[in-house]
Amino acid sequence: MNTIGPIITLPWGFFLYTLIGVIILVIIGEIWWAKMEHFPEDEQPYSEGNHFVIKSDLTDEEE
Amino acid sequence: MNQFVTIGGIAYNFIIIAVCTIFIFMRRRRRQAQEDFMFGGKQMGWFAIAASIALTALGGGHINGLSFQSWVDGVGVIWYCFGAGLCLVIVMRFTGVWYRRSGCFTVNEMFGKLFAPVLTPILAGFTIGYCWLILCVETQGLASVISALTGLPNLTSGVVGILIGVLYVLLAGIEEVGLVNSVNAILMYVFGFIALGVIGICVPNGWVGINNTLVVNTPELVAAFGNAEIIRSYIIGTFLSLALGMNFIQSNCQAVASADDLRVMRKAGIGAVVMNVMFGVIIIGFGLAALGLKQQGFIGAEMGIAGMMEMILTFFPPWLQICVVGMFAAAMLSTISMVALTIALSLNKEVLGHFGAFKGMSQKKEGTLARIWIVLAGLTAAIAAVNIKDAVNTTITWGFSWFIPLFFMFLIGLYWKRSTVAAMVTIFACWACNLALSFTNMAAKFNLEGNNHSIFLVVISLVLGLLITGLDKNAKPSFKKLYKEQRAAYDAARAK
Repeated sequence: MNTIGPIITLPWGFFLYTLIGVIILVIIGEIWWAKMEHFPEDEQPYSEGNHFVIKSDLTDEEE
Repeated sequence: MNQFVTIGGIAYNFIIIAVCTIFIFMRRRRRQAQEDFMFGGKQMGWFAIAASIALTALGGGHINGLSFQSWVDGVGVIWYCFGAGLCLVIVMRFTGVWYRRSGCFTVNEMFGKLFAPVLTPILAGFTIGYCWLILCVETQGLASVISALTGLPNLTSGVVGILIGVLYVLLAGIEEVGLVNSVNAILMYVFGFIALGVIGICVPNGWVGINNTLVVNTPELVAAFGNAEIIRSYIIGTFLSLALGMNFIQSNCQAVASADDLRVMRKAGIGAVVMNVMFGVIIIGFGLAALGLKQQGFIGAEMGIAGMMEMILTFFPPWLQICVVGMFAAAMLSTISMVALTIALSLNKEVLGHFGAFKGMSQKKEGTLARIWIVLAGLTAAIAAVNIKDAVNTTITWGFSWFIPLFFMFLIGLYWKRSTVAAMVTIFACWACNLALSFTNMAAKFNLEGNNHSIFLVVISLVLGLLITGLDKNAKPSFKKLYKEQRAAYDAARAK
């Protein structure tokens, strides 16, 4: 069966191949960070009493 | 029995554990801080969080699974690592962020509050089952290494391995695990890349011989995307399973909840992706080097992990044998510790927490109970692990796919509407489908046999999740809207 993609030389060609994948993932992560909605409370340290816990809004019947 | 390497490999881990434990106890004493076994006082640094998240998703599935799978699918197996890397991006930028914002103890509790309270114990049961499966996988990985070193039977090796694993986490909880992981993360890469260099010098014909042999005999194993069969049966399904299935597994989110604020998570996210994915280069490199040596007739092992161990014990200098074996054990021990902690957390908070005598337990009582669960889970996993010797990669990918519907229901609930009916139907339909795929040849009828359960579950999750949510007239407003309302009220009350 025909191979797909270039032949990867071990180990450093493989290292480079993986590194490219990692760089793409890190860029995706950083773009995501830049685009995501940041709330002011995200930067309040937990150690300073930021102990919010969400409450369920489901009705008694469903609960 | 290779006593020198066995004792050295175990000593490698004991020394790191002992030094880190002493350091943490001294620091805690100096700060007069109380032990927080589960969350480390929510003050872990970015490197400790990155190392913990990276190493939790990196263990027997890599060492045992990738080395085995590299003999079947070659460098294409790196897509397992890319899938894990994308999952870590999603956790650190999306799912983990919302889990943290919700303030819930566990992701299961969050799902219970958003969709249906009954989901909390159901998902807790699944989390415990999943974590126990991972414990089995890791124990089998340790058993393979110990067995190759000592010649002990697989079961005995598994029991020895899990005893060391339980000790790893028993002493100080997540804070110790975080520090030990940080030290191990650095050492793993140092010794791993040294070992890749040593293969070029110490094995007959070096990397040139290995590359030439593989290109002639099995070119698909060194092609970037393998061949059509490897893409169909392994790459797509495995990538989806890892990227979308691991997001709401408590053990992968546990360290996220230990961050002091979101800025810590930004740095930790980058570190975790690099640490996790690059480790694949080392293990798949070892696996393919062993295969190249087998094709040249220098080793005789019949499968990946055994071939890799034979190569290490035959050609590496003794000091490097100790470091590499110690490194393998460290990677598996870190996963054992985190999934064992998750089992303890789920049992304490989501199962026992429903019974009067255990409601509002002190941190000390929680810590004691957690240690009991860890010992019990570890010992039972050692006994069960003996049967999954050759199927580690398949087992672990199968395990992740159970959690795929959670990702899609969360996505729909966060941005659109939260439907209890849609969540229950979608999750149970996906699980029924996964069972059917596991026990029948249904996947083959779609020409999707192999690691492809995730493809079915992605389609079912999307179709059922969107359709039923759209039809449900009783659906609640989105999680985002609920969060903003409640958070604003909370902040206003704090400001007064």
